[in-house]
Amino acid sequence: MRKSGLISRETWLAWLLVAPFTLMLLGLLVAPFLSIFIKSFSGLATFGLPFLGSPEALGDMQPTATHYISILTEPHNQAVILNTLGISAVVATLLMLIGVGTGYYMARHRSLAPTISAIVTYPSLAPAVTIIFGILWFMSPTGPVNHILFQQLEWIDEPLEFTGTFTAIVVGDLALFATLAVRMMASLFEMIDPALEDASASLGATERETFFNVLLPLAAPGLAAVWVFIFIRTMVAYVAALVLGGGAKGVVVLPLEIFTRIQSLGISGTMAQICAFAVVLAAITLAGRALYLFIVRRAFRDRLQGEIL
Amino acid sequence: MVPEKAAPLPAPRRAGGFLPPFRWIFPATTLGLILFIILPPITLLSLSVNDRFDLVWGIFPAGISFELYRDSGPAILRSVADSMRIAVPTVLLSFLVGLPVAYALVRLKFPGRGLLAELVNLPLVFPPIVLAFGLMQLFKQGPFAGVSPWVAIVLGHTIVSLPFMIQPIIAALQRVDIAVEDAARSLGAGPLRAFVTTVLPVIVPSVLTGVALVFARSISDFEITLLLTTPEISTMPIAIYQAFESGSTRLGAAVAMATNLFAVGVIVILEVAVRRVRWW
Repeated sequence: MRKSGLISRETWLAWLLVAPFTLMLLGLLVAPFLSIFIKSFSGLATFGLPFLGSPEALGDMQPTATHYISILTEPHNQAVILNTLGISAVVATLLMLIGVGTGYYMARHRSLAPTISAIVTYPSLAPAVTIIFGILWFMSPTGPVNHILFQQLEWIDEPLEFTGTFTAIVVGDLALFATLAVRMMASLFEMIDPALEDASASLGATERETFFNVLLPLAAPGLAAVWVFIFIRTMVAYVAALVLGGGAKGVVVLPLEIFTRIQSLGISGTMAQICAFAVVLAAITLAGRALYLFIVRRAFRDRLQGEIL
Repeated sequence: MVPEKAAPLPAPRRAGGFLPPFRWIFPATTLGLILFIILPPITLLSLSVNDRFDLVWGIFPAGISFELYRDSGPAILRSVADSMRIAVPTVLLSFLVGLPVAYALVRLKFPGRGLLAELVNLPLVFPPIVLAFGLMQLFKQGPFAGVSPWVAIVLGHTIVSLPFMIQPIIAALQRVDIAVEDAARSLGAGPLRAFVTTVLPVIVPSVLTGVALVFARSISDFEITLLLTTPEISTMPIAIYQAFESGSTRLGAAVAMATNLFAVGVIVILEVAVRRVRWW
């Protein structure tokens, strides 16, 4: 392209085209987050964020790391972090396993795949709130699970207590993210040539041996990528914890903790503390994303030439 | 040295005499997942068409009655209207902002291209609650404090939905041959006209996919709407949440079912449109 001055016409055009997007991103996401980041180190108890309506100037801030230390040392905060990491790890592992089972089945039964895919896609079309409430009522004392276990079969003495437990949130998140995991796994297994399995069987391996010695090693980087992906998604998942986790008195995860603190801003807690939580959550998520990209880029190097991931 | 006879290949062994065949794990998992996905919505559906509170076996309606839908009709329609009032501008804005970005990333070379490709995914990766928190400050106490909550919510939804619009368009543009556009230019069309007449019609299916994804994201959004909303705005997820929290479970179930039907219906229509458009 001809260059006029230092910047070519192509560059000008490109920057012009992406200007609205960049402005939106900077103004609505980057700038507020920077402000949150700065405020998280503030020792003041004021409500505003720097640059965004705060009465004090940048220089008045008393820099301190107390909020972060409080996150790491206070028992309630530690519980929140551990709950969040724990739930995310459990959901990621379970969905990896379920994804392998269903994804492999779909990849090797192409005729059934569209039907299965349509059903499995439903949770991603319907709003998360409806799915979560569906589960809430499915597991409630008057729902079918308790009806069968408690009233009909009398295997248990009283209705299963579901809400407010770790399991409840796990189940909720499973429902929300199953679609993602299954689809990613199905694509993964479609990329593996069935001829390899046939070859392995012709050499005398059982199905189990073929699966563990041939398929899994080939799929391993993809499995790792899916695990990390689901882990990050579950870390920021909020609706399941809000409805099924029993609220502020039940099992609390990080997004919910932030939300509860926002709601009680005038009463207790400081803005700066909330900002610290927000930064921690964002940091873990972004680190997870970096890890995901690292795995995918290394594992699928050959297939992604020039593709924008 | 005496040459040995080659050992025969071992016959395939059946693993574990009492366990079911290994290959049953896969259909079993699939079936379990399908049941897990469809049974809870059936419970909600039954709750909403039941003529009393108790369900047979906890899952089937004792008697069918649409009374709940009749009574809550106005509330449902209003929440649908509110959701649409946000989703439609969100889709439009996402398209107008996202299409140029997709084009620039695929067709042009410029400094910052790699960084931009990463930034396109940033809203997807960023925790929604942190984003909502930032937006809340921006629109409630910050420089944009006077802005209408509708606008704030539309902007919030747009920023998180942009990746859903941009990615399909990028994929489509990568498949379109640049030669067609160049041919139009060589025949005298300006760049915009060349694009609109040669490229845009071809990428319509992917644009529709983007529209469906953005629409689904906006309709389902909960965190951003919750933090930016005022009592007068009642989108479908908010209405459902409020109904359940205030104890009107059956009403909540009715609104939830209506929401599901609406959301799934619109998206299915869009997907069918995508398939029909692809056929020419």
